[in-house]
Amino acid sequence: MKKIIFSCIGILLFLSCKTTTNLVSEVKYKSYTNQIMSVEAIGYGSNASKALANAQKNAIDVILFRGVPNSNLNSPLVGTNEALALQKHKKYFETFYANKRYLSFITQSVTQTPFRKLENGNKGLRATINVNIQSLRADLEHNGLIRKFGY
Amino acid sequence: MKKIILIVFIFCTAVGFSQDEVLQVQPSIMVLPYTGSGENALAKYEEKQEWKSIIATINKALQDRGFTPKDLQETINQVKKNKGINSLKGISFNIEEELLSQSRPDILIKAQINFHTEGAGNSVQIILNAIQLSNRGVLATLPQVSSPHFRTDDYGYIVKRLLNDENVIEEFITDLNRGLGETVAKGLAITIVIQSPNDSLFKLDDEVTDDYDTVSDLIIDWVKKKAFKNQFKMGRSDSQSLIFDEVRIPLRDEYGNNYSINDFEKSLRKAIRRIIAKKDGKGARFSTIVQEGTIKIILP
Repeated sequence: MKKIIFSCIGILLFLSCKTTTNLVSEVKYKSYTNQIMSVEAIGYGSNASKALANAQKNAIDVILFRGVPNSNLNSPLVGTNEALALQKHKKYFETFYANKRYLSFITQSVTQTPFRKLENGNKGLRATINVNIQSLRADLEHNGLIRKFGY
Repeated sequence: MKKIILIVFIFCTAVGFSQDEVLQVQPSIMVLPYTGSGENALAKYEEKQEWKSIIATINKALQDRGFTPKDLQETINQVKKNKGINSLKGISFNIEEELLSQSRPDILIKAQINFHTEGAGNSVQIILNAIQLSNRGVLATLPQVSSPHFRTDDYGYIVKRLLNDENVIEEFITDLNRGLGETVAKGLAITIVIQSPNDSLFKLDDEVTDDYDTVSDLIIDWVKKKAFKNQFKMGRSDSQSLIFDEVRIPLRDEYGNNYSINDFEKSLRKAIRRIIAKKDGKGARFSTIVQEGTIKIILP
Protein backbone atom coordinates (compact mmCIF):
# COMPACT_ATOMS: atom_id res chain seq x y z
CA MET A 1 0.00 0.00 0.00
CA LYS A 2 2.84 2.36 0.95
CA LYS A 3 4.46 1.63 -2.43
CA ILE A 4 1.31 2.68 -4.26
CA ILE A 5 1.05 5.92 -2.27
CA PHE A 6 4.73 6.71 -2.90
CA SER A 7 4.30 5.95 -6.60
CA CYS A 8 1.29 8.30 -6.81
CA ILE A 9 3.19 11.08 -5.03
CA GLY A 10 6.14 10.49 -7.33
CA ILE A 11 3.96 10.76 -10.42
CA LEU A 12 2.31 13.91 -9.12
CA LEU A 13 5.68 15.48 -8.33
CA PHE A 14 6.94 14.54 -11.80
CA LEU A 15 3.91 16.08 -13.44
CA SER A 16 4.20 19.27 -11.41
CA CYS A 17 7.86 19.63 -12.35
CA LYS A 18 7.12 19.38 -16.08
CA THR A 19 7.34 22.81 -17.73
CA THR A 20 4.03 23.85 -19.23
CA THR A 21 4.00 26.22 -22.14
CA ASN A 22 0.99 28.02 -23.48
CA LEU A 23 0.18 27.35 -27.08
CA VAL A 24 -0.26 30.98 -28.07
CA SER A 25 -2.22 31.44 -31.27
CA GLU A 26 0.21 34.01 -32.54
CA VAL A 27 -1.08 35.72 -35.64
CA LYS A 28 0.72 38.73 -37.08
CA TYR A 29 -0.55 41.07 -39.73
CA LYS A 30 1.40 41.21 -42.98
CA SER A 31 -0.73 42.94 -45.63
CA TYR A 32 -4.31 43.54 -46.76
CA THR A 33 -4.83 44.19 -50.45
CA ASN A 34 -7.76 43.58 -52.77
CA GLN A 35 -9.80 41.98 -49.99
CA ILE A 36 -7.10 39.40 -49.28
CA MET A 37 -5.55 39.63 -45.84
CA SER A 38 -2.17 38.06 -45.40
CA VAL A 39 -1.12 37.03 -41.89
CA GLU A 40 1.75 35.10 -40.39
CA ALA A 41 0.47 32.40 -38.06
CA ILE A 42 2.14 29.84 -35.84
CA GLY A 43 0.74 26.32 -35.90
CA TYR A 44 1.47 23.44 -33.56
CA GLY A 45 1.13 19.70 -34.12
CA SER A 46 2.84 16.34 -34.15
CA ASN A 47 3.81 16.72 -37.79
CA ALA A 48 4.13 19.42 -40.45
CA SER A 49 0.70 18.96 -42.01
CA LYS A 50 -1.05 19.04 -38.63
CA ALA A 51 0.90 22.16 -37.65
CA LEU A 52 -0.03 23.89 -40.91
CA ALA A 53 -3.70 22.99 -40.39
CA ASN A 54 -3.45 24.45 -36.88
CA ALA A 55 -1.88 27.66 -38.24
CA GLN A 56 -4.72 27.98 -40.74
CA LYS A 57 -7.36 27.54 -38.03
CA ASN A 58 -5.57 30.01 -35.75
CA ALA A 59 -5.55 32.62 -38.51
CA ILE A 60 -9.28 32.20 -39.12
CA ASP A 61 -10.07 32.23 -35.38
CA VAL A 62 -8.19 35.49 -34.84
CA ILE A 63 -9.92 37.14 -37.80
CA LEU A 64 -13.35 35.98 -36.56
CA PHE A 65 -13.03 36.44 -32.80
CA ARG A 66 -10.00 38.54 -31.88
CA GLY A 67 -9.26 41.00 -34.65
CA VAL A 68 -5.87 41.49 -36.26
CA PRO A 69 -3.84 44.22 -34.51
CA ASN A 70 -2.17 46.91 -36.65
CA SER A 71 -4.50 46.19 -39.55
CA ASN A 72 -7.77 47.63 -40.80
CA LEU A 73 -9.43 44.59 -39.27
CA ASN A 74 -8.71 45.60 -35.68
CA SER A 75 -12.23 44.59 -34.72
CA PRO A 76 -13.06 40.92 -35.22
CA LEU A 77 -15.51 40.03 -37.98
CA VAL A 78 -17.92 38.15 -35.69
CA GLY A 79 -17.16 39.61 -32.25
CA THR A 80 -15.06 39.00 -29.17
CA ASN A 81 -17.65 36.83 -27.40
CA GLU A 82 -16.51 33.62 -29.06
CA ALA A 83 -18.36 31.27 -26.71
CA LEU A 84 -21.68 33.01 -27.29
CA ALA A 85 -21.20 33.10 -31.07
CA LEU A 86 -20.27 29.39 -31.16
CA GLN A 87 -23.34 28.55 -29.10
CA LYS A 88 -25.74 30.84 -30.98
CA HIS A 89 -24.63 29.64 -34.42
CA LYS A 90 -23.79 26.07 -33.49
CA LYS A 91 -24.92 24.56 -36.78
CA TYR A 92 -22.89 26.99 -38.87
CA PHE A 93 -19.70 26.46 -36.88
CA GLU A 94 -20.10 22.68 -36.85
CA THR A 95 -19.83 22.65 -40.63
CA PHE A 96 -17.30 25.47 -40.60
CA TYR A 97 -14.82 23.66 -38.34
CA ALA A 98 -15.68 19.96 -38.40
CA ASN A 99 -15.95 19.82 -42.19
CA LYS A 100 -13.08 22.30 -42.49
CA ARG A 101 -15.25 24.66 -44.50
CA TYR A 102 -13.02 27.51 -43.33
CA LEU A 103 -10.37 26.26 -45.74
CA SER A 104 -12.49 27.51 -48.63
CA PHE A 105 -11.79 31.09 -47.47
CA ILE A 106 -8.02 30.55 -47.41
CA THR A 107 -6.57 31.37 -50.79
CA GLN A 108 -2.98 30.40 -50.04
CA SER A 109 -0.88 28.87 -47.24
CA VAL A 110 2.90 29.00 -47.44
CA THR A 111 5.15 27.60 -44.71
CA GLN A 112 7.79 30.11 -43.60
CA THR A 113 9.86 27.86 -41.36
CA PRO A 114 10.45 24.11 -41.39
CA PHE A 115 8.62 21.96 -38.86
CA ARG A 116 10.75 22.02 -35.72
CA LYS A 117 10.81 22.69 -32.00
CA LEU A 118 9.86 26.35 -31.53
CA GLU A 119 11.05 28.85 -28.89
CA ASN A 120 8.40 27.72 -26.41
CA GLY A 121 9.49 24.09 -26.66
CA ASN A 122 6.50 22.90 -28.70
CA LYS A 123 6.83 21.52 -32.17
CA GLY A 124 5.36 23.61 -34.92
CA LEU A 125 5.94 25.97 -37.79
CA ARG A 126 5.28 29.48 -39.01
CA ALA A 127 3.17 29.99 -42.13
CA THR A 128 1.80 32.83 -44.21
CA ILE A 129 -1.94 32.42 -44.56
CA ASN A 130 -3.94 34.45 -47.09
CA VAL A 131 -7.63 34.85 -46.26
CA ASN A 132 -10.32 36.14 -48.59
CA ILE A 133 -12.00 38.57 -46.21
CA GLN A 134 -14.66 39.69 -48.68
CA SER A 135 -16.04 36.20 -49.27
CA LEU A 136 -15.74 35.28 -45.58
CA ARG A 137 -17.68 38.40 -44.62
CA ALA A 138 -20.30 37.73 -47.32
CA ASP A 139 -20.72 34.18 -46.00
CA LEU A 140 -21.13 35.40 -42.42
CA GLU A 141 -23.69 37.96 -43.62
CA HIS A 142 -25.56 35.41 -45.72
CA ASN A 143 -25.83 33.03 -42.78
CA GLY A 144 -26.98 35.74 -40.39
CA LEU A 145 -23.92 35.77 -38.12
CA ILE A 146 -23.25 39.43 -38.82
CA ARG A 147 -25.45 42.26 -40.06
CA LYS A 148 -25.55 43.07 -43.73
CA PHE A 149 -24.67 46.62 -44.70
CA GLY A 150 -27.58 48.93 -43.95
CA TYR A 151 -30.42 48.95 -41.42
CA MET B 1 -64.07 15.53 -41.57
CA LYS B 2 -65.32 19.07 -42.20
CA LYS B 3 -63.53 20.19 -39.05
CA ILE B 4 -60.23 18.72 -40.27
CA ILE B 5 -60.60 20.42 -43.66
CA LEU B 6 -61.36 23.72 -41.91
CA ILE B 7 -58.32 23.40 -39.61
CA VAL B 8 -56.04 22.56 -42.57
CA PHE B 9 -57.46 25.55 -44.47
CA ILE B 10 -56.86 27.94 -41.55
CA PHE B 11 -53.33 26.57 -41.08
CA CYS B 12 -52.47 26.98 -44.77
CA THR B 13 -53.87 30.53 -44.78
CA ALA B 14 -51.84 31.41 -41.68
CA VAL B 15 -48.66 30.02 -43.25
CA GLY B 16 -49.41 31.96 -46.43
CA PHE B 17 -49.74 35.22 -44.49
CA SER B 18 -46.62 34.60 -42.44
CA GLN B 19 -44.55 34.26 -45.63
CA ASP B 20 -45.21 37.90 -46.58
CA GLU B 21 -41.82 39.12 -45.45
CA VAL B 22 -41.44 42.84 -44.79
CA LEU B 23 -38.15 44.13 -46.14
CA GLN B 24 -36.45 46.86 -44.18
CA VAL B 25 -36.32 50.17 -46.04
CA GLN B 26 -32.63 50.92 -46.40
CA PRO B 27 -31.05 54.34 -45.88
CA SER B 28 -30.14 56.27 -49.00
CA ILE B 29 -26.55 57.44 -49.23
CA MET B 30 -24.83 60.11 -51.26
CA VAL B 31 -21.14 60.89 -51.51
CA LEU B 32 -20.22 64.58 -51.90
CA PRO B 33 -16.73 66.00 -52.49
CA TYR B 34 -15.40 68.94 -50.47
CA THR B 35 -12.26 71.03 -50.44
CA GLY B 36 -10.34 72.19 -47.40
CA SER B 37 -9.94 75.66 -48.95
CA GLY B 38 -13.66 76.29 -49.48
CA GLU B 39 -13.42 76.12 -53.28
CA ASN B 40 -16.41 74.74 -55.18
CA ALA B 41 -15.62 71.03 -55.10
CA LEU B 42 -18.66 70.12 -57.18
CA ALA B 43 -17.49 72.32 -60.06
CA LYS B 44 -14.14 70.53 -59.81
CA TYR B 45 -15.95 67.18 -59.72
CA GLU B 46 -17.66 68.00 -62.99
CA GLU B 47 -14.43 69.10 -64.64
CA LYS B 48 -11.72 66.83 -63.34
CA GLN B 49 -11.39 63.10 -63.75
CA GLU B 50 -9.50 62.62 -60.47
CA TRP B 51 -12.44 63.95 -58.45
CA LYS B 52 -14.83 61.64 -60.29
CA SER B 53 -12.41 58.77 -59.62
CA ILE B 54 -12.41 59.39 -55.86
CA ILE B 55 -16.20 59.45 -55.65
CA ALA B 56 -16.45 56.38 -57.92
CA THR B 57 -14.01 54.45 -55.69
CA ILE B 58 -16.05 55.21 -52.56
CA ASN B 59 -19.29 54.32 -54.39
CA LYS B 60 -17.71 51.06 -55.57
CA ALA B 61 -16.84 50.12 -51.98
CA LEU B 62 -20.49 50.65 -51.00
CA GLN B 63 -21.64 48.62 -54.00
CA ASP B 64 -19.31 45.78 -53.01
CA ARG B 65 -21.31 45.57 -49.77
CA GLY B 66 -24.55 45.24 -51.75
CA PHE B 67 -25.58 48.88 -51.51
CA THR B 68 -26.26 51.36 -54.29
CA PRO B 69 -25.53 54.98 -53.42
CA LYS B 70 -27.30 57.85 -55.19
CA ASP B 71 -25.57 58.94 -58.36
CA LEU B 72 -24.00 62.34 -57.81
CA GLN B 73 -23.69 63.27 -61.49
CA GLU B 74 -27.35 62.42 -62.13
CA THR B 75 -28.42 64.59 -59.19
CA ILE B 76 -26.22 67.47 -60.38
CA ASN B 77 -27.76 67.15 -63.86
CA GLN B 78 -31.24 67.30 -62.34
CA VAL B 79 -30.39 70.44 -60.33
CA LYS B 80 -28.90 72.07 -63.45
CA LYS B 81 -32.04 71.23 -65.40
CA ASN B 82 -34.31 72.64 -62.67
CA LYS B 83 -32.25 75.82 -62.41
CA GLY B 84 -31.79 76.19 -66.17
CA ILE B 85 -27.97 76.33 -65.98
CA ASN B 86 -25.21 74.53 -67.85
CA SER B 87 -22.37 74.87 -65.38
CA LEU B 88 -21.85 75.02 -61.63
CA LYS B 89 -19.24 77.75 -62.00
CA GLY B 90 -20.20 81.10 -60.48
CA ILE B 91 -23.61 79.96 -59.24
CA SER B 92 -25.43 82.17 -56.73
CA PHE B 93 -27.37 79.47 -54.86
CA ASN B 94 -26.20 76.89 -52.31
CA ILE B 95 -25.51 73.84 -54.46
CA GLU B 96 -25.23 71.46 -51.49
CA GLU B 97 -28.70 72.41 -50.24
CA GLU B 98 -30.10 71.99 -53.74
CA LEU B 99 -28.51 68.56 -54.14
CA LEU B 100 -29.79 67.40 -50.75
CA SER B 101 -33.28 68.68 -51.40
CA GLN B 102 -33.26 67.01 -54.84
CA SER B 103 -31.98 63.60 -53.75
CA ARG B 104 -33.05 63.63 -50.06
CA PRO B 105 -30.41 61.14 -48.86
CA ASP B 106 -30.50 59.80 -45.29
CA ILE B 107 -26.72 59.65 -45.04
CA LEU B 108 -24.19 62.01 -46.54
CA ILE B 109 -20.58 60.97 -46.98
CA LYS B 110 -18.41 64.07 -47.15
CA ALA B 111 -15.14 63.43 -48.91
CA GLN B 112 -12.59 66.17 -48.30
CA ILE B 113 -9.91 65.92 -50.93
CA ASN B 114 -6.54 67.66 -51.28
CA PHE B 115 -3.99 67.26 -54.04
CA HIS B 116 -0.28 67.85 -53.61
CA THR B 117 2.31 68.21 -56.30
CA GLU B 118 6.03 68.14 -55.52
CA GLY B 119 9.21 67.42 -57.41
CA ALA B 120 8.88 63.78 -56.39
CA GLY B 121 5.43 63.49 -57.95
CA ASN B 122 1.76 63.81 -57.05
CA SER B 123 -0.03 62.83 -53.87
CA VAL B 124 -3.63 62.81 -52.60
CA GLN B 125 -5.03 63.27 -49.08
CA ILE B 126 -8.56 62.26 -48.20
CA ILE B 127 -10.77 62.66 -45.10
CA LEU B 128 -14.17 60.95 -45.03
CA ASN B 129 -17.10 61.74 -42.75
CA ALA B 130 -20.43 59.90 -42.83
CA ILE B 131 -23.23 62.07 -41.44
CA GLN B 132 -26.76 60.98 -40.57
CA LEU B 133 -28.82 63.88 -41.86
CA SER B 134 -31.77 63.32 -39.52
CA ASN B 135 -29.73 64.65 -36.57
CA ARG B 136 -26.43 65.65 -38.23
CA GLY B 137 -24.72 62.97 -36.14
CA VAL B 138 -21.42 61.52 -37.35
CA LEU B 139 -21.73 57.79 -38.07
CA ALA B 140 -18.16 57.12 -39.16
CA THR B 141 -14.93 58.98 -39.82
CA LEU B 142 -11.86 58.16 -41.80
CA PRO B 143 -9.11 60.43 -40.48
CA GLN B 144 -6.79 61.85 -43.09
CA VAL B 145 -5.06 59.24 -45.21
CA SER B 146 -2.28 60.26 -47.58
CA SER B 147 -0.84 58.50 -50.55
CA PRO B 148 2.89 58.49 -51.22
CA HIS B 149 4.06 60.68 -54.09
CA PHE B 150 3.73 58.94 -57.42
CA ARG B 151 5.38 60.03 -60.64
CA THR B 152 2.11 60.03 -62.53
CA ASP B 153 -0.68 62.46 -63.40
CA ASP B 154 -3.19 59.63 -63.20
CA TYR B 155 -4.89 60.72 -59.98
CA GLY B 156 -7.48 57.99 -60.42
CA TYR B 157 -4.69 55.44 -60.03
CA ILE B 158 -3.30 57.27 -56.97
CA VAL B 159 -6.72 57.40 -55.32
CA LYS B 160 -7.37 53.73 -55.96
CA ARG B 161 -3.99 52.85 -54.49
CA LEU B 162 -4.71 55.05 -51.48
CA LEU B 163 -8.19 53.70 -50.72
CA ASN B 164 -7.69 50.07 -51.66
CA ASP B 165 -4.19 49.44 -50.32
CA GLU B 166 -4.52 48.35 -46.72
CA ASN B 167 -8.29 48.51 -47.38
CA VAL B 168 -8.79 51.82 -45.61
CA ILE B 169 -12.11 52.26 -47.40
CA GLU B 170 -13.27 48.85 -46.13
CA GLU B 171 -12.57 49.89 -42.55
CA PHE B 172 -14.58 53.07 -43.08
CA ILE B 173 -17.52 51.11 -44.54
CA THR B 174 -17.36 48.69 -41.59
CA ASP B 175 -17.46 51.62 -39.14
CA LEU B 176 -20.37 53.11 -41.05
CA ASN B 177 -22.23 49.81 -40.85
CA ARG B 178 -21.56 49.67 -37.11
CA GLY B 179 -23.16 53.13 -36.87
CA LEU B 180 -26.18 51.91 -38.82
CA GLY B 181 -26.41 48.93 -36.46
CA GLU B 182 -26.57 51.35 -33.54
CA THR B 183 -29.40 53.19 -35.29
CA VAL B 184 -31.30 49.89 -35.55
CA ALA B 185 -30.71 49.21 -31.86
CA LYS B 186 -31.31 52.72 -30.52
CA GLY B 187 -33.75 54.05 -33.10
CA LEU B 188 -33.45 56.89 -35.59
CA ALA B 189 -32.74 60.29 -34.07
CA ILE B 190 -35.05 63.11 -35.17
CA THR B 191 -35.69 66.67 -34.00
CA ILE B 192 -39.07 68.17 -33.14
CA VAL B 193 -39.72 71.91 -33.13
CA ILE B 194 -43.12 73.22 -31.97
CA GLN B 195 -43.76 76.94 -32.05
CA SER B 196 -46.53 79.18 -30.88
CA PRO B 197 -46.05 82.69 -32.34
CA ASN B 198 -47.68 85.78 -30.83
CA ASP B 199 -50.67 85.57 -33.16
CA SER B 200 -51.42 81.89 -32.38
CA LEU B 201 -54.80 81.11 -30.80
CA PHE B 202 -53.27 78.23 -28.90
CA LYS B 203 -50.28 78.86 -26.66
CA LEU B 204 -47.82 76.33 -25.34
CA ASP B 205 -48.39 77.57 -21.80
CA ASP B 206 -52.21 77.39 -22.01
CA GLU B 207 -53.51 75.32 -19.10
CA VAL B 208 -55.87 72.78 -20.63
CA THR B 209 -56.69 70.23 -17.91
CA ASP B 210 -58.35 70.37 -14.51
CA ASP B 211 -54.94 69.57 -13.05
CA TYR B 212 -53.42 72.71 -14.68
CA ASP B 213 -51.38 70.79 -17.26
CA THR B 214 -50.18 73.07 -20.06
CA VAL B 215 -50.14 72.20 -23.75
CA SER B 216 -46.34 71.78 -23.43
CA ASP B 217 -46.71 69.40 -20.47
CA LEU B 218 -49.08 67.15 -22.43
CA ILE B 219 -46.90 67.16 -25.55
CA ILE B 220 -43.85 66.24 -23.45
CA ASP B 221 -45.83 63.40 -21.83
CA TRP B 222 -46.86 62.11 -25.26
CA VAL B 223 -43.29 62.23 -26.63
CA LYS B 224 -42.06 60.51 -23.47
CA LYS B 225 -44.46 57.64 -24.11
CA LYS B 226 -43.85 57.34 -27.85
CA ALA B 227 -40.05 57.81 -28.05
CA PHE B 228 -38.31 54.53 -28.88
CA LYS B 229 -37.16 52.95 -25.61
CA ASN B 230 -38.06 56.25 -23.94
CA GLN B 231 -35.06 58.01 -25.49
CA PHE B 232 -35.45 61.75 -25.97
CA LYS B 233 -33.60 64.93 -25.10
CA MET B 234 -35.36 68.18 -24.35
CA GLY B 235 -34.05 71.38 -25.88
CA ARG B 236 -35.48 74.84 -25.30
CA SER B 237 -38.90 75.12 -23.68
CA ASP B 238 -40.68 78.44 -23.17
CA SER B 239 -44.06 80.02 -23.85
CA GLN B 240 -43.32 80.33 -27.57
CA SER B 241 -41.30 77.27 -28.40
CA LEU B 242 -40.88 73.66 -27.40
CA ILE B 243 -37.87 71.93 -28.91
CA PHE B 244 -36.85 68.30 -28.61
CA ASP B 245 -33.20 68.18 -29.68
CA GLU B 246 -33.35 64.42 -30.15
CA VAL B 247 -36.21 61.95 -30.17
CA ARG B 248 -35.49 58.36 -31.13
CA ILE B 249 -38.09 56.65 -33.30
CA PRO B 250 -38.13 52.94 -34.23
CA LEU B 251 -37.38 51.71 -37.75
CA ARG B 252 -40.30 49.24 -37.50
CA ASP B 253 -43.72 49.43 -35.88
CA GLU B 254 -45.21 46.85 -33.48
CA TYR B 255 -46.43 44.76 -36.44
CA GLY B 256 -42.98 44.63 -38.03
CA ASN B 257 -43.85 47.09 -40.79
CA ASN B 258 -41.47 49.85 -41.80
CA TYR B 259 -41.85 53.02 -39.77
CA SER B 260 -40.61 56.45 -40.81
CA ILE B 261 -40.45 60.01 -39.55
CA ASN B 262 -43.64 60.68 -41.55
CA ASP B 263 -45.51 58.00 -39.56
CA PHE B 264 -44.29 59.61 -36.34
CA GLU B 265 -45.32 63.06 -37.62
CA LYS B 266 -48.85 61.75 -38.33
CA SER B 267 -49.23 60.44 -34.78
CA LEU B 268 -47.73 63.61 -33.26
CA ARG B 269 -50.00 65.87 -35.34
CA LYS B 270 -53.11 63.94 -34.22
CA ALA B 271 -51.96 64.00 -30.58
CA ILE B 272 -51.36 67.78 -30.65
CA ARG B 273 -54.77 68.30 -32.32
CA ARG B 274 -56.38 66.38 -29.45
CA ILE B 275 -54.34 68.33 -26.85
CA ILE B 276 -55.24 71.81 -28.13
CA ALA B 277 -58.90 70.73 -28.48
CA LYS B 278 -58.94 70.44 -24.70
CA LYS B 279 -58.84 74.26 -24.56
CA ASP B 280 -62.03 75.05 -26.46
CA GLY B 281 -63.44 71.63 -27.26
CA LYS B 282 -62.70 72.02 -31.00
CA GLY B 283 -59.02 72.72 -31.61
CA ALA B 284 -58.02 73.79 -35.11
CA ARG B 285 -56.22 72.47 -38.15
CA PHE B 286 -52.55 73.18 -38.60
CA SER B 287 -49.82 72.08 -40.98
CA THR B 288 -46.51 70.42 -40.29
CA ILE B 289 -43.21 70.41 -42.17
CA VAL B 290 -40.96 67.35 -42.27
CA GLN B 291 -37.50 68.09 -43.59
CA GLU B 292 -34.09 66.43 -43.12
CA GLY B 293 -35.11 64.64 -39.95
CA THR B 294 -36.93 67.58 -38.36
CA ILE B 295 -40.67 67.84 -37.68
CA LYS B 296 -41.72 71.48 -37.44
CA ILE B 297 -45.17 72.43 -36.17
CA ILE B 298 -46.61 75.92 -35.76
CA LEU B 299 -49.65 76.01 -33.51
CA PRO B 300 -52.72 77.64 -35.10
